[in-house]
Formats: sequence, structure tokens, C-alpha cells
Amino acid sequence: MLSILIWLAVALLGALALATVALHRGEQINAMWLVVAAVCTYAVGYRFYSKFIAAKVLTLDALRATPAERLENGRDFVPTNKWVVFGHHFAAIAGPGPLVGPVLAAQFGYLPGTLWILAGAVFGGCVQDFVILLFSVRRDGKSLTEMAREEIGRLGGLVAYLAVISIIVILLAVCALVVVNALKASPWGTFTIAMTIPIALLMGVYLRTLRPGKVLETSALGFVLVMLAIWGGQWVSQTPSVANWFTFSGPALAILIIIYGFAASALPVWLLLAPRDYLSTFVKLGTISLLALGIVALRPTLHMPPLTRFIDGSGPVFAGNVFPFAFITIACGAISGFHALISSGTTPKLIRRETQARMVGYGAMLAESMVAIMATIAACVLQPGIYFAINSPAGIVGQAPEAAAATISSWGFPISAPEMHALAQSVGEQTLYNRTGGAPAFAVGMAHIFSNSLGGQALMAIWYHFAIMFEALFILTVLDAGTRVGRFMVQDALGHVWKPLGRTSWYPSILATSALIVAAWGCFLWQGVKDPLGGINSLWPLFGIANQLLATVALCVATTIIIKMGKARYAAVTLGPLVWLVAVTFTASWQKVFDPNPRIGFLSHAAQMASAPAANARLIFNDRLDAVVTCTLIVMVGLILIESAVEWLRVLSGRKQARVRESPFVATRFAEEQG
Amino acid sequence: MKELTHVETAALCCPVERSSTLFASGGLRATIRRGITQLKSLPPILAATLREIFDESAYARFLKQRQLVSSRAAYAAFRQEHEVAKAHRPRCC
Repeated sequence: MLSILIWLAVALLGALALATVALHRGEQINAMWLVVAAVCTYAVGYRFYSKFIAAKVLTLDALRATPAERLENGRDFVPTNKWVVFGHHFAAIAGPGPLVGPVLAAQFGYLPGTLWILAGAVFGGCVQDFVILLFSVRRDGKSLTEMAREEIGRLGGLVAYLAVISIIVILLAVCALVVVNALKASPWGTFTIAMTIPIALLMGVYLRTLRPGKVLETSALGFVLVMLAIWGGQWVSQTPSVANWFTFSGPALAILIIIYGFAASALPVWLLLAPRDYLSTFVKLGTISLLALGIVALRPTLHMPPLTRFIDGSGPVFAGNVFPFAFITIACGAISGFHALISSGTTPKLIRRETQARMVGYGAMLAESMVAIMATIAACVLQPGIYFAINSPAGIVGQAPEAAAATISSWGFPISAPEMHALAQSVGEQTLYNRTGGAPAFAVGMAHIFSNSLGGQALMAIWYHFAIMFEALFILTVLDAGTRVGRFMVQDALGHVWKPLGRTSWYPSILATSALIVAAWGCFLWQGVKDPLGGINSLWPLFGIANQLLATVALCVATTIIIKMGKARYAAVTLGPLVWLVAVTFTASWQKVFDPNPRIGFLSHAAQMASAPAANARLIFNDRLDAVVTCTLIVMVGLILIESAVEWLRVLSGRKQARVRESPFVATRFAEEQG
Repeated sequence: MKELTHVETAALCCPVERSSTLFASGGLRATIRRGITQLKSLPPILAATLREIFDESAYARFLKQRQLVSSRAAYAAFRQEHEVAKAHRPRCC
């Protein structure tokens, strides 16, 4: 009875918080309403919805041995404590996406993003991660691509493979663009990030020769060195002769990052990739915890209105209506196809009991969703004028500070050039105008929260550069790990054509495939830095579409398996989010390719450029390339949808025997353990 | 503090899974007792999680399996074995 009363109270509190978030107009609200709404929604979703899925749809079996137990080898397959797996899984799924996406979507106001993050996570993202994790556990830890091939068909497997490669290439380009936009003309930020390379190399050598295996100690040491680099960066930025060495334009930074990506892919893992990965994870876990504490301690007021005028599609950050663009801009944090790769990668090989898949799959995604809510808060605590000044490209608001301030003020978000100058000075930057990509706006918001909780205005610049370092380090880790993963995937494929190309240790193959992957994302990155609209306008939606299409593939696999399990009456659990994602991604893709507004449609933008007196052939080519890539992605997913639907109909009509490819049942020896 | 293996930490946190039926069995006092037990088990679980995330547990398992003591050579062998798998893992966006 007490339990019922408590859950009723949680539900009522959540409903009150959601109503406050959704219905408040004209007055600013406290960020804690978002936190309370999120925590209550997650609690109810976890307690009731995930339990329903676990009991009725998946029928988790506490007596069934997992692959970690059956195939235990002390290396890949290791039965691991559920909290440890939870932490491991969360660290693997939490990337820069839940930080950047919500910041960009804040141009619509805080309401659309918040509602999508909450509903998307509870009904979509968490379900996808949980279901794919469980299905992979029941198939000896098979990958999404393998499950697609076995359960849907060969075409499904091929599409899943191509979708993964495409998303990796676009993800790397957009990540690199975010870093370029955060570091251009910023000697402090560039110095700090440049220093993380020798720090990572030093950590690699220290770990290998001085203190073998002491990763936590080495990461802590690396963190101290990074903090010293941030402190030293202030001196660099204030010493003009040194600052010049670290002041780069966007294209120059893009070239440096492309060279870095190639080197990171070709260098030994222990020397750069592994220590940087450890350092990034160390900083990531610490900073996310710190941000949560900062929000709770400060309880800031949201200055952004719940809805802005830009829901009509005329937004300066990126063009497009709130539907569908809010839903592809925020992927990680609501639902992200990329998570299906993690849920069918390392995690299923660590799960000790089948029943723990619920906490790890569903629960870790809820934690990631909370990170997205924190990013929304960080963006919305800024005055809207400041937010738009930072995130609007020069092509929209103008290059001169006075012109930009006048344009933004004319939208109803008052801001003045001296105010922006003072803000830039307080964070140790020359300017904060036109810093598109989300990272600088998030860093200013985070610095605002941190400095008001600890250190005051005196530490604003340090906190800002700490936040920039955190995001850039995070993103560069994704970049070098992603380039290497892409390289392995290409090598696997080319190995079928000519065997030596598939050998991951053969240097000519390493160099050729690294160059291929780096050239692929470098091409999109170059397109982004040369784009007068800032690049994010075209690349982030492309990334969102690719990511959500991968989620579509994952949900097709999940729905197929649920139907084959004889649970068709519960197929709506995955079919619902699938239908929503298809509607969102197909609409967004159509608009990005064919919309007559040149700020939205690639083809109309290309036509507008072609008719201009000084036609830029490169920009026209870029637009057409983006259109072709979008169409290719849509066709691929259309094919997998058709193949899946045919499979469902054949099974449901009895024309095909429903046969799932699960590993045979083996009783667990952990049956006596609770949980 | 004694380092716990993944098997030992699993046993430590058993009551946590049952917390979904918070007040179902044993009344308020039992619930408080369970809460205290959970709180006590938090630091070792956190430490075990960090060691797993940072591959220290994987190295410990490697040493145990091969019956080696930690050294430069052992760590180099561990890295070689684990890097192939680790480098294939995508980092999420």
C-alpha cells in the first residue's frame, strides 16, 4: 500500500513538473522544474514500462545462462557485476551528442527539446537499447549487422553495414566541425587541446614503462597536466607573440584535424588512442557529475522562452520546422541508432544475468537522457540574445558585431555589441560571435553554472576553457576511435576483394584504408568550414538523419524478432517508435533534399548558387553531394523496411515458420543469486 | 581497502535489485537496513566500476589467467591482446 502511495506521489509530482514546464508562458521558470520532471518521468518509465517490457514482451529468464557465463574466457566474455556493466555501458554510450544536440535544438525554446528528450528516451531510446541488448545476449553477443542478416535477410545485413559506415563518416565530419568552430581564433582553447596530444603520448609511455597497468593513476596524472595546460593557456592568450602560434582560421584547423585523424588511425593504439581514451573518459565522468551537482546547487533560472518564433522553420542556428527537425537534431539523449552498436557490442558479453539487461539497457539510456536535459539547461540559462549571437552564422546575422547585435535584437532577443564584447573578455576570447556548432554556447552556459556555484566571475574564463577542453577532448576521442573503427570495417570489406587488404597489421593496407576514411569525413568537414551558413545547418541534420536511420534498422530487427517470438500483440513496443522515426526521418530527408527554401533544401540552395553572378562550383557540388547521400540513406532504409515488412507478413500469415535464432537454453549457475 | 573481484561485488549489491519492491517485504526497518547495506557497498562498487572502465580489471584477469606478475612485458602482452578488440569498438556520438 505504501509503495502504491509513493509511486502515486512520484507520478503526480512528475505531472505537476511537466505541466509547469509545458504550460508556463510569459514568466521565466527555474531549471529544477526540468530536473524534477525528468527524474519523475524516468522513475515511472523505469518502474512500470521497462518492467512491462521485461515481463510481457521479452520474458526475461532468470534461469538462463548468458554468453558471459557460458562462453567465459576472461577476455571478451566475463560475467560482471551489474553496476559495473551499467557504468561501462553508460561510459560507452555517452558521447558529445547529448551535449551538442539539445544546445542546437534550444533555438526552438526549451519545451520541444525537453519533451522529445523525455518521451523519446522512455518510449524509444531506452526500449531500443534494452531490446537490442537482450536479443544480442540471447545470440551469444552478436552484432546488430549479424542479427539483421540472420533475422531479416542478406539485404538487411548489407544495409546495416552500409548504414554503420555512413553514420561513422558523417559523425566524424560533424564532430570535427564542432571542434573547428569551437577553436577557431581561440589561442587559449587551441593551446589546451594541442597540449592534450603530448600529454596523451606521455601517459602512453608512463603507462607502458613506468607504472604498467595503473590506468586510473595515469589518468589522474593526465588530468592534472590538462588542468595545468588550461591554466597555461591563459598566459598564451595574453602573450601576443605566443598567441599568434595558436591562432588559426577554420580551414587551417580543419587541415590540422584531418592530419591528426590520419596519424591517430595509423599510430600504435597504446601510444595515443588508448591514453587519450582513458583521459577523455576520466574527464567526462567527472565533468558530467560536476555539472549535475552545479545545477542542483545553483538551481538556475531559464532565460530562454518555452517556444521561440523559430518553430516556424526560420531559425538561424539551423533552418527547418520544429517537426521534423527538433527530432533529428536531438538523437543521443532521446533515441540514437549508434547505441544499438554498443548494445550489441561489448555489453552483452559482460551481462551476468539475463534479468540485468533491463537495468543496464534501459537504465543507462535514462542516465544519458538526463545528460541531455542538463545540456538543455546549460543552453537555456543563457540570455536568448547571447545564445543566438554565439550560435548564428555570419551568413545570417552579419560579420560586424553591431550588425549582428542589431539583427538578433530585431528578433525580440535584445543584445548589444558591448555586452557581447564584455562576455567574450570574461571568458578569455576575442569574440563569441558566429561560434556555431553548439560547443561554445554549451561552454558559456556551463561556465555560468560553475562560476556561480564555485569561484565567481573570477573563474569564468577558466571554467569556459575547461568546458571547451572537455568537449573537444571528448570529440577528438570519438574522432580517432571512429576513424580506426571505420578503417577496420573497410579493411574487412576489402579483404573479400583482395586478402592482403584485409590484414589489419599490413602497413600499406593500414595507410590506404586510413586515408580512405579520413578523406571521406575530411571532404564533409571541408565542405562545412567553407559553408557561409556555418556548415552545421547542413551537416548536423545529415548526421541526425543517418543516426535515426540506424535506429530504424535496429527497431526493424527488434520488431522482426518480437513477431517471430510469437509476441506480435506486443510488437507496438518497438513498432511505435519505428513508425515515429520513419515519419521523422523520411520527412526531414525529403525537406533537406527538395524543399524550395534554399536554407533548407540542398537542391534549391544549389540552384540559387548556380543562378548567382559569381557561382561557386564547389558549394554547388557540396549541396548536390549532400542530396545524393541523403537519398542513398533513405533508399537503403526503405529497402530494409520493405524486407522487414515482407518477413512480418509471411510470419503472421503463417506462410513462413517463425524461427528465432537464439542460442539454446543452458541453466545458469548463478540462479541462487538475487537479481 | 581489499580489491574486490567482479564476482564478489556481484554478491555485495544483491539487495539493490529487489529495491523495486521497496516496502513489500519486512517493513520500514528492513528497508532502512537494506538502504544502509546498499550505501556501505557503494564505494567498492564504484571502485570496481572505475577499474572495469579503465581496463584495470581486464589487466588483473589477464595476469591471473596467465599466472603472471605485473611487469612491462606483461602489460605489453596484455595491451597487444586487448588492443585489437578495443580498437574495433566504436565510441558513441
